[in-house]
Amino acid sequence: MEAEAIVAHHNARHPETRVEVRGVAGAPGSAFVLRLFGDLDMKRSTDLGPVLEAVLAACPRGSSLYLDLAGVSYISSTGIGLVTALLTRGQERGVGLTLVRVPQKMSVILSTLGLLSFFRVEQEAPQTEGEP
Amino acid sequence: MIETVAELCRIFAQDATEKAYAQVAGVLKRFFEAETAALFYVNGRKEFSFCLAGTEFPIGLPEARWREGVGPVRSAPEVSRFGPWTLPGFESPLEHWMSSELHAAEGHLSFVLLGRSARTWAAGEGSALSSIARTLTPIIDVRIEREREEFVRRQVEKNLAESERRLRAFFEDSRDMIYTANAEDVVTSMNAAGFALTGRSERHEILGHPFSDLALNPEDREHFLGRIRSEGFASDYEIVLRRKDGGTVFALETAHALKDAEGRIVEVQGIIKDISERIMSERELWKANLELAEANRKLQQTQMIMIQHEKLASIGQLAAGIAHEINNPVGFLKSNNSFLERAAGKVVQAWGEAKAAAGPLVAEIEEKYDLAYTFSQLDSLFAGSNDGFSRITSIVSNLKRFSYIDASGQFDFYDVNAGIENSLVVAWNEIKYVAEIRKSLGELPKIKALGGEINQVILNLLVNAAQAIESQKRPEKGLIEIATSLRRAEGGAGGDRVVIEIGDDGPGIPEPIRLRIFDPFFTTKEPGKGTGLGLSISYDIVVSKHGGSLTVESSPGEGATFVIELPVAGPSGPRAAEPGP
Repeated sequence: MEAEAIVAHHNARHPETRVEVRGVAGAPGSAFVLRLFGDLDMKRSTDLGPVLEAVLAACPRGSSLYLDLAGVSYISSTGIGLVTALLTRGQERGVGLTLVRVPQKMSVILSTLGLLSFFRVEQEAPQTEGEP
Repeated sequence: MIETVAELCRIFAQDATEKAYAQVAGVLKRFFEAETAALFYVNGRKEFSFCLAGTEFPIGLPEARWREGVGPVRSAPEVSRFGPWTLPGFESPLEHWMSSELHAAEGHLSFVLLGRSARTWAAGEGSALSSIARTLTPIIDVRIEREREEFVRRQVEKNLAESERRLRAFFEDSRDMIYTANAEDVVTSMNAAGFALTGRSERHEILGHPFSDLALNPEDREHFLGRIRSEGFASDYEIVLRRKDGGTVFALETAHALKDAEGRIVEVQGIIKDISERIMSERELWKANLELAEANRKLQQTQMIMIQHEKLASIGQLAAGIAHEINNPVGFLKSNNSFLERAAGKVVQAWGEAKAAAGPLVAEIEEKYDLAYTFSQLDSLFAGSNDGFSRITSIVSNLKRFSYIDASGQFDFYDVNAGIENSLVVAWNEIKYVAEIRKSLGELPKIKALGGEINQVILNLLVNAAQAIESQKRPEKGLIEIATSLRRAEGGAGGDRVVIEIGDDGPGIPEPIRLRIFDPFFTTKEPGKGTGLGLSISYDIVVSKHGGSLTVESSPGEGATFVIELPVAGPSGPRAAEPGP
């Protein structure tokens, strides 16, 4: 998968904002968990844009993408733009985006900006393949 | 001369100002019996001046004029004589002048000049002047040096004051927040813009408090300080400030740390710029994009649902049309069969009578064509045919009722149990090889519904159940259980509701995707096997059109049960259940 190569390349270059993509246990090919780590500041968010675009492109129409934000330590307005763009592009591609394990501080910012209601948010991330 | 020198020293000792030079000039004039005496000098402020005997204050001159004035005076240690010459600003020249250099440090020149007309300067007078000059030179050196130092100090103080004023103006007048905080991140100073930005006006509301008190997310401030501790600075770091009035300010901060010799942070100095306007503009853009994408998605969804509805309606109409076409030939086939059954009965009866009358020949023919066996099978054959015709009639009837039940598009009384039976007939081909059906249909009132659409929902759930069981490719048949019941309204709240449960013992639905199964286009079926719209349309029919509910209960590996609840009175309002048919 091209997306896997792009993610691996990104992680090698930017280990501080690594990305993980895993399939959801029991839903092969139809549900995925995308985990982000580190700071989503202006520069790093810009670097992440093409990576997330590639991950989204690899998700089949009708599939679910769970964006796990528990590992995100800081988010800037560029980071917020990145997440909203992911939702927008997901809707265009027929991929349902759900935010999971959103840090409280990020919820507060999304809420302050009046954007939280656009997102489907869940407390827990689904169990992924190959993980206990 | 000693008294004169002592007097000169006393003057310099008592008066540190330049007025002392005028007094000194006066003493020299008197001592040397000169008509005039003057001291030309460059003071510590690098001002070119001269003091005249008999005056009180020094006279300042432009440098060129001063230099022109002392033009004839030699810059040399020995006494020089010259004349006639006119002091700057005087009209009448004097014939005889005598001068001596007093101080010639770098950039500073001082001379004493004595002038008179009556007689020339004697050698002894020159020696006396030279001697006095040598005595005064170190004193003047010190005075000028001290004056220069004082001047420099004042200049430095003035510059510092100016610098302080400019920095203070920069600090106070800046439109961005400028602040300092100590090593514990307690705010130690903040400019007026900072107070305005945070909506606070009193110093005690900010100074002495942790900066994190001003942050909407204190965690972000700690993260920011972490970056400063590790890198010594942080630039263009976005932070959201909390105003006193509860509002928020989106801001961009650049700060650095001042560290002591051991590398410990002693102060954080930061500048924070309000970028709320920019963020609000971006927010409007994000919202517009999200709303546009949402609108597009809904449009696509509606379009697909309409297409699917159209398909289902077309299939229903096609089925009903075929059923109608089958109905006519089945009618005359059944009629012909009845005639044939009666005719065959007569033939058998006639054959018996012929056999009794004609004897062995008939019996021989009967044996040759095995008529006895043929006649014995006729009753069961016709019974089988009649049963087949009844089943065709029933199927045709079900098909027609399945499709045409609400052709008017109006809510009408609908029999849920009959709808289930009709739907089972339509779905039977999908079910019969993979599952047994177990029904437990309770006594129900007719409900106000779009029967054709409810049939579509039931059909969809039955086919999904069959396909779920089939996906397991198990050797034995699975089980589909269908149950209906009436749930009475509690305490008169709401209306009575009919509950339809359709369960299967298939693989079940994993918890992560349970919430999404009613989403349009969501499917777990192989490509080409499902559009992902069946449950979405079913949800729309049950919830949106009928005011009911459609839920699912499932445990992985233990199958799934879909529960439909429909208000007996239809979506318009509650009513008590009427007796069933």
